[in-house]
Amino acid sequence: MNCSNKTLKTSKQPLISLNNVTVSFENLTALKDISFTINKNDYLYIIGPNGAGKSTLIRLLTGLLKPSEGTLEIIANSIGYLPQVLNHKPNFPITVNEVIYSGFKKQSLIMKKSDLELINFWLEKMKIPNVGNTLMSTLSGGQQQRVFLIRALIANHDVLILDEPTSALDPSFRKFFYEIINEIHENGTTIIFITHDINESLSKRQVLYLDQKIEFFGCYEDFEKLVGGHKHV
Amino acid sequence: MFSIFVDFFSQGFMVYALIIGLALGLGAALLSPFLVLNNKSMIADGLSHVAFTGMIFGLLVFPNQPIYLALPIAIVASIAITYISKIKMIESDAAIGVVSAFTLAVGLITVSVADGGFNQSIESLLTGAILSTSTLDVILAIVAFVIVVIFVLLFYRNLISSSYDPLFAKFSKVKHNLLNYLLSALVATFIVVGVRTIGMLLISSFIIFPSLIAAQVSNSFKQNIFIGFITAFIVITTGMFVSFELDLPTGSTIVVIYAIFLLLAILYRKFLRRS
Repeated sequence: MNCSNKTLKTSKQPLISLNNVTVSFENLTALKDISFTINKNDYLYIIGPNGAGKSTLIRLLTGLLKPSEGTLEIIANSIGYLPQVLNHKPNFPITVNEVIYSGFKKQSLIMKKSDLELINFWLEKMKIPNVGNTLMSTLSGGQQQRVFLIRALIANHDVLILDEPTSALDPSFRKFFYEIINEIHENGTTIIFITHDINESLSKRQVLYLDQKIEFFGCYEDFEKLVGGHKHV
Repeated sequence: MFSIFVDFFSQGFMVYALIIGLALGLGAALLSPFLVLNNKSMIADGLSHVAFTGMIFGLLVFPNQPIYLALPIAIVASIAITYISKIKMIESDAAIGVVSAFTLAVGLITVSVADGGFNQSIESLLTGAILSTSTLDVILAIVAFVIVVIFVLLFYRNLISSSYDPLFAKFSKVKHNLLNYLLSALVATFIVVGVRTIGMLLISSFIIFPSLIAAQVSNSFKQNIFIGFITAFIVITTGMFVSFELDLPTGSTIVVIYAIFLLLAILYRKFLRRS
């Protein structure tokens, strides 16, 4: 699916494929008969109301959950993930470098110089230089979110899944954040972005509107026509 | 002063005691941050009760080497506690409380009904008898220490990731549950090896104190491990010499020195570090 010139040419090389996937928890059906494919270089926004099954879908895509029915095929070699609800221990004595290093594919007991240089490069790019040896617990919520983003993307994954990543970011950094994600996408990473934040960044992107089942899957412009330009869906 | 060292090292049993104390104490110090900083300190306490009962059963079946039975019992109990906590059937602290109280009760009932008594005093299992250690105890303590060092070196990154952010660790294919089971089983091994020499009532302090003291003065996880390790070395060595010189119970002396170090560390954090 090519929504505009803003989207890079999709190669039709599937990275994740869902076929008639249903997820049920005891008597509750969280996702019903979901089918779609994410191809290399796609940039997909997943939107939907609370309780629509977005988090369940993310857990499927990240391999943390298996479908109750249907098939899920993950062809991508590696997936990076920035969770919405961070499950970390806020007062755990871990440094920024250690947190980011946990996102590396290959880790050793002692960090290599080249690994530290890469971490420093990203810290500078995210406008939080010189915090590598600082305890995570001493950073602000927004700064921590930037560190978690670096952890998710530093290993150059095929797919990057971002679950409400801008919620803890201040508005001034939000624009810059979208620019960085665009840059990563342009470098060949497939982006899956879950958001409540319906804004101009969605324009000319693919949108999947979820409400337990897929209500819409197409270009944002078509979606906008369908909902009549409402910003709150 | 020098004569104290000469006297100390001229006593073979004291050298044994020092080796076993250091092997247990330093190994426990390496495990300490992975438990204390994960709010799992009580696992060590709970398992010490299990180890007590394991030793009681062990004394009945293998009077000379009760550890042969005590070790598998404690490892099975550690896996059971971890499993119950994992499936959230009961909150982890309650699970530890239930398992430890039950096993201790079974142990005490066994003591009261056992025919013929034991070849080891029950008091020595409670408070330890570090000065009456056997060669096997020393070998076991050293083996346990080596296993812990290998475990921490091999899984250091995974352990940190799993401790700090379990969800991300699971996503990153870190064997979070397996690591938890291995960690609990290692703690159980340490407790069983140490319960005869340090005592059921004191052995868990070897695991709890080092990281707790280090947390007051450290600025990172690595520092916590390093400071805890050095603290354990100083405290255990000092405790051995003080108990030898003043004729005090060794395990208790070590624990009192640990407590003094913790108090000093808290005072340092409260007054000096803040300024």
